Amino acid sequence: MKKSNIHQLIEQQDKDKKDEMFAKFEKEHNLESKARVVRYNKKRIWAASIAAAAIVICVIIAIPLLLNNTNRTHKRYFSIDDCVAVDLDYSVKEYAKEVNKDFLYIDWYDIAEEFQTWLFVNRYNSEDVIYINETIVNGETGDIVDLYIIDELTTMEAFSFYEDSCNRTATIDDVPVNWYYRNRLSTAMFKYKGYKYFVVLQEPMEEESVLKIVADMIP
Amino acid sequence: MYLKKLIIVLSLNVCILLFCAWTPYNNYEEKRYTEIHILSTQASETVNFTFKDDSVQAYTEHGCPNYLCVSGLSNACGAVSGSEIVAFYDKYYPNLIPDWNSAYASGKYRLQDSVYVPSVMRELYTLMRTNVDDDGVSEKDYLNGLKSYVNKQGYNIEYENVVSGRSVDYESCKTAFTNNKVIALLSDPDELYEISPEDTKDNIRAYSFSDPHIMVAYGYVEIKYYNSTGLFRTDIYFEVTSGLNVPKKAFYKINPHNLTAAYIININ
Repeated sequence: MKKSNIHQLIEQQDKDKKDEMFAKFEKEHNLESKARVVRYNKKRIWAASIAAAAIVICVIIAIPLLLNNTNRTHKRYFSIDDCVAVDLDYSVKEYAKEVNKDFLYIDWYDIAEEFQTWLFVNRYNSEDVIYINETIVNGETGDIVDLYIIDELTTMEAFSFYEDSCNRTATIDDVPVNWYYRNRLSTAMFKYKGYKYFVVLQEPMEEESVLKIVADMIP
Repeated sequence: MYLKKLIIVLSLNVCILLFCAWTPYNNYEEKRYTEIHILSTQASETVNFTFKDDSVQAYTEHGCPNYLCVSGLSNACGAVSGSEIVAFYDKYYPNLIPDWNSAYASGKYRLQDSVYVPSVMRELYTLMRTNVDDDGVSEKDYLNGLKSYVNKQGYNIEYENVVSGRSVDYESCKTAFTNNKVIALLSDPDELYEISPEDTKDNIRAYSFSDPHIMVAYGYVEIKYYNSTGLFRTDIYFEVTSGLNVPKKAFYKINPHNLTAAYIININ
């Protein structure tokens, strides 16, 4: 029943009864209003709680994803002293599968005399891999090669020497390759799909032998 | 009268002895060699020339193994360089590292494995009393530790120090490399170099290391630079294992040098 109709009904009563009915009506009406307010706030609280829970769940899901995101968007710089070596017991090829990356590698595993793979991690955050180094020995030729892999946005100061020194140029499968030979070491450098690769061949038969290894790496 | 004089003389002697006990000489701390710390700021130098002669050089056969410090060890340049020396000579004295050959039949050195080399490194680390008295190793503990290891494996080791003050017996070093012997270099903070050659210039990159460090030298090169007026510069380097991953091998300049000692290693 509408509030105005109730008032009309009360007005039709005598004075004492009128006052009593007015008081009773106001009391009930106030209680009812308060009850409505309380019900309304409960809904809002429920809604807010659900929204907050959803946000918390989103944050919980997002944080690990953000932390594990190795697709860097900003440049960073490391010195030699920032790195700590961690011996990886398996190859770059297997590591690439593990971390779901398309790393290039020197595929001599079937004929390798031996290989050794190191991850160089951030001294202050062991989850942060700065670069990878694999040394592999060809069982057929005896060639010993060092492969270094680092993402293009990360600068490792020790590699800057290679970058500065590789002053000869070549192109292999449309990929520009810089290289140089010095004192029984032949070194090549190239970029491929977001990563920089440094290939160092010890005691090469010919100065440019390293380019053959690079050619075998590039798909 | 004589007794009084005797008492005075004896008292003076006691005072002198007590004074000596308190003098800083007796609190002298031996130099400690720790792991290599490269200062992040590198210096580069370009040497322009019209002609360069680097034909005077000699290296041991296939250089020297270069190893990295294994996990769990710290300030271990003594143990790392010691294991490189042991592995270098294991090719000729196979019981130095039992059940493992440090080189292939071709003579090239094998890579650092994950069993035998770490085992040698850890043993040397202990024998050299690394981090016992203080961080790193002292010269004395380094030499004693390496000697203990080699003797235990049934061989003798002899050291010939070629550094005296600021001078180094360069001729003895050249003979050592030619005769296929390596040299343990104990250096004060100094620099390692990489050289990038071009047709008419050499770019020389210097890596400064901040603490006393031990490396293994396995060869030398003399680089003579000429311009229109003739020879204007001669650099003499030893090639060394750095203890680093990049560069694994580097040059250590010996004219001038910052060596406190350099021991030609003889094992027989």
